[in-house]
Amino acid sequence: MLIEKDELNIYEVESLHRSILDAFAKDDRTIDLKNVNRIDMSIIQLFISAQKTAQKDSKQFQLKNVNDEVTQIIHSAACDFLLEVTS
Amino acid sequence: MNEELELFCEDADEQLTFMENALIAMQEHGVDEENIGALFRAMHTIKGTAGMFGFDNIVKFAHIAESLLSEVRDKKIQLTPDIIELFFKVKDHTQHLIDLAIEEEEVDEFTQLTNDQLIEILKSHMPSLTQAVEEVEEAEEINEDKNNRLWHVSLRLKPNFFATGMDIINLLSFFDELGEVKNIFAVIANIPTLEELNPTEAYLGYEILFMSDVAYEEIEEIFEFVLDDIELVIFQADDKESLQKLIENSDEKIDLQQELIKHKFYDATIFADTTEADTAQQEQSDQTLTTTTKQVKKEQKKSFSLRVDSSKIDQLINQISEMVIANAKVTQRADILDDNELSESAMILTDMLEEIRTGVMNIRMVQVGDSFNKFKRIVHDVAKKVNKEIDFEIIGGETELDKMVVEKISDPLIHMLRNSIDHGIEMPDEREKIGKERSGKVTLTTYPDAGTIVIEIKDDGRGLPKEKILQKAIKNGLVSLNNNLSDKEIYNLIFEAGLSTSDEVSDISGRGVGMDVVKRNIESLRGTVEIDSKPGQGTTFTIRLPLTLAIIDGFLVQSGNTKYIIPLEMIQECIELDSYYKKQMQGNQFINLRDSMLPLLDIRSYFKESASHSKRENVVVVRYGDYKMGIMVDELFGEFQTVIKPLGEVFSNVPGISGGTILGSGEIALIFDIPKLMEHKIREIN
Repeated sequence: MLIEKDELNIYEVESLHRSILDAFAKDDRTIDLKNVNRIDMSIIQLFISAQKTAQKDSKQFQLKNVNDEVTQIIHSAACDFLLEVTS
Repeated sequence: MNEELELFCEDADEQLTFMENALIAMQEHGVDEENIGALFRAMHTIKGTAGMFGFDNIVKFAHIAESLLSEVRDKKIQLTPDIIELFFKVKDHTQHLIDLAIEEEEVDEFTQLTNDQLIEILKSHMPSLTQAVEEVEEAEEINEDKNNRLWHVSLRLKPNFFATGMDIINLLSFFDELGEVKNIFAVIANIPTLEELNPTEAYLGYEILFMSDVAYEEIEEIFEFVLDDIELVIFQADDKESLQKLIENSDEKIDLQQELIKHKFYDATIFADTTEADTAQQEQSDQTLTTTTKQVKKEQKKSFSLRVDSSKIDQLINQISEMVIANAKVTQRADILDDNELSESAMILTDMLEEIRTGVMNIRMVQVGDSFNKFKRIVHDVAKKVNKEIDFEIIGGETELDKMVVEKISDPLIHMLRNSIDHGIEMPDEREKIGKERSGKVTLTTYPDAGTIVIEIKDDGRGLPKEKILQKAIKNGLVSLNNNLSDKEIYNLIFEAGLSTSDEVSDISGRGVGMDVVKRNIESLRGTVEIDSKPGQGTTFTIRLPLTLAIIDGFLVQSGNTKYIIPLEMIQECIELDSYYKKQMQGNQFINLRDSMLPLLDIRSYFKESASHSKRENVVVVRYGDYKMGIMVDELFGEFQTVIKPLGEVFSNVPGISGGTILGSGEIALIFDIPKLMEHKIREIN
């Protein structure tokens, strides 16, 4: 699924949660962040939850096209494991 | 602006005020450790909170200012008058940077230039930062190594953490500023899968191993604003007992011990020796006790103040107002029914309501000194600009007034203070020539008086130019050539729109706008302003403001068919207008009250009321400022808790009436505007 927004934070987390649930239901477990320049901890937590869900179902989960800014934020949050493709 | 940013704004404002107050105090009374500490803390807090919002330029600037203050605090650098002046500029610049950050505006070229210049000046006072930076850093590194300790910080976000608006990633970045993060991992075991996740709740935690020479308190300070929203444990990594306790208390779905070993926080052997842990149980509990005490202290400190949106208090006051009215109905019904028990209950309720009312009103009351202290800076700046020497004093800063009134009265006061300095006070040489002190004296005095708060601005300058004001007023057509105005009336002309007697228009005052606005602002607060001036001796502005704007203790009276309320605090006494007094009056509107003449205002004729049904006539003696007057009414009913209701646009300008209230019977009573009634009477006498 492609995220259209430039910034994702607590205000978007509920709608993004619903979108990810819908995408997962359609077997889409790749989140394309090419438009995203900033995320906060609530979004990182949501991605971790998504990663866990995919792992539980033995499916592959991936954050795609993560730019340097978002990579740095994920790194600062000590959640680099999110950048790995998991299955 | 979101709530967190508003809080930041309020907090920064408060810190900058602390800073300014400390600087002013040191400028006036000399340097002292307490104020240096206050200055340092203010800058430190601003740096910290700005960092949380990612306002990097504020952090950078505040950091350098804080460094200099740190040197001052450590007595390495002396706080000279020049440095105090510099910090006034630092304060202003910080304020400007904060304003820009909040408005999300870019730092303009001019601001950047000021920023760079100030940083240069700040650095020039700190040789340690400019001379051989590398050497110093090297030395610091060695020094740090000596004091460095390894800390273990364990934190768990409480479910409502995200609602604080604080981003934990920003908070974590502070560890890099305080020292070196040796190891960190996110505790994600409690994050559920998507189906069970409530995305607005926090499930995360962190374990951090952190090398630094800072103390426990400084690490805790990172989380200062979210302490209620996280679970935080901080201990030195070699404190095995605290570590053991942390693992025991962990209720996570993971084995924290294994995770800590996996992430190379500790060697597995450290957990093997449990006996050692047992023997040191006591020591550990001591440590925990200290930690707990610290937390309790923090909580106690927090309970001292609470920020509440003022609209919530307004709402509470409105609700209490409605309760007061409803209770008045119950009281009246009890009287009609002659039900003693109901009367008694209603009376208890009345007392309780009064207590609640006083309590809620008190929440809004603030000491005027807190707000008025900022005037010192303004006086200082204006005096400097016009090359005058001013000795400014605030008296009665502890007087309490409704916060809303304090805020609204600030601008008029600033305007009057500027006028006093710019026009009132003479130049130092001129003062010396006429035998005055070189520095002019300006005092701002506040005190309560008969249900009002009086604010006086007094200067010992040249006084108001009576002739000049009169000529200008005649020229502008405000008064006729053949007027018969008293001195006071002439002075009051300066409150008319477009009347400025200043020959030169400065950027401080003299534009001919302002004093009329000042008067309008004061009147909008149901206040009055008077002027007294003596040539060569100075001018005094006296502002009277009501204590509160919502509910007052009133005194219910009747004249003709209408009921009226007189503010209780202004009443001195009530007397019956019997034949003895009537004989004295001989058709005049005066009585002799204990050897002094008391002018009377007959409400029935003033408001053209119908004839009285009462056999008795009464006089309520009221005082406002220096004036006394008797108000002639028919009936006296006694004390009445009065909820002030506005009369609406049509009746808002009825002279002598400031509002209305609803009585228990549903009738409306009108509230007297005593100052206006007095003004009418004085004019009538003259």
